[in-house]
Amino acid sequence: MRNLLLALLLLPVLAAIQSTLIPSWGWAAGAKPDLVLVVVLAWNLASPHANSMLWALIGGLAVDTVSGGPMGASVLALLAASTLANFTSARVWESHIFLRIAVAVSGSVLFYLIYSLVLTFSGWGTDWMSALVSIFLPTATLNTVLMLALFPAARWLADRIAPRTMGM
Amino acid sequence: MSRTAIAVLIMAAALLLLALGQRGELTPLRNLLSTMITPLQEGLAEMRPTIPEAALISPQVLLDRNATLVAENELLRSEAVRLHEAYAERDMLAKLLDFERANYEHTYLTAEVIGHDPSAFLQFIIINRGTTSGVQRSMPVVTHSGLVGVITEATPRASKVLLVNSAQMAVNVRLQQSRATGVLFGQASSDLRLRFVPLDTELAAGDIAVTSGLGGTLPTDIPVGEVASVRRRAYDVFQEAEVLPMVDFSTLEVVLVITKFTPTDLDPLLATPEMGIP
Repeated sequence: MRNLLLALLLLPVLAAIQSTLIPSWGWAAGAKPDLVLVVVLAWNLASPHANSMLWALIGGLAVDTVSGGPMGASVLALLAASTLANFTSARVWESHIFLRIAVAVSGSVLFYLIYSLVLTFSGWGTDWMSALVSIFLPTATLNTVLMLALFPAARWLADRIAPRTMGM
Repeated sequence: MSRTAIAVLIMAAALLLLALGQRGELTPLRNLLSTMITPLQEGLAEMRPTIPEAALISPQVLLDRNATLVAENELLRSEAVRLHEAYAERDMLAKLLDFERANYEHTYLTAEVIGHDPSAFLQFIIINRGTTSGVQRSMPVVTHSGLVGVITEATPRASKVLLVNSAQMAVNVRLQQSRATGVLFGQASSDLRLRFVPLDTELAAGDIAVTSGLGGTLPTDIPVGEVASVRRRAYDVFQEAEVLPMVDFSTLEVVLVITKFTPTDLDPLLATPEMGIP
């Protein structure tokens, strides 16, 4: 319950920060870190409970509300990314730094891939080649750096709010 | 509940949202969520490092007056571009003499930018004016530099503006020097690409693209971009050009929504039996 309460309080604020403060910090065109995605990934990595996957729903709704894209697109893309992080972390006890990097990169790519597909199927044109060069790669890199910075905080919070349980 | 069950439920919810969104039935939900998040965005937008000195030393009255003067300045600069177009039009061929242009009386509404689209794939800004201020879908948004985009969604207190450099945007334009027409498309790289310009047209770097008004969705003569480079290949039907937007979208703070304009009247140009055109 505290897990969900935290998501309800935190993710709308992060979505608002992502749409207001982050773009004003002078990023190269097209590339800026995806705060909500990284936080959802970090949380599912730090606290791989089933409930943590609901962060994808809450975060996705918050992002879609401040986005001009179709409602539900971010939910679907975040679900895929958080599922990847959640299932990966649930099967690997020690969250080694390489695991965080791998989850940040693969989670970002999965997120953007599914988001682009939803955009394409919803009638929004996507220039795939240009998106790969100007969005996928630079943003995945920024997300990875952000993941390394945010993960300790996510694990600290998770240990106090929703500590992971050891299965035998 | 297991992870799989939760994942299936969320996926079903997402697909339901997408389906309802396609049918346009999510407006009440979007309005509700926007009503909750917009105050957050407005509060955070105040924290951005925009003109910090002025914010520190100026009282509210001066800030309001400054916003009004900026808006008037944008309007005047926009008028200057339109006048330039008017002079160029006087030299055009005789066939244009039969076409009486409408006397535009645009009505402007000043709005502040309170957010950008969080997705790197979409080029939207969010402004702090919505349906309660008279903003409606499809209204053009400009600054003193030129066209910013069009309103795609308006909630009571905020609206979303699809930027000109978005991959989902296409604008009919005319080039000021060559007088050629074409279509400007946004790209994922946030630049613009001019297409459908005939090969025999003399395109050159530095030429300014302004809205042609074709289609009636935008006023005429609003600057959109400047030609940076031209790609012309003999075996192509059309030539293309890379165009740099006139507006610096990353520094947008105040924009003008054109709430009323007279669209280009194409009826006199359309062939009808009464006109005796075969």
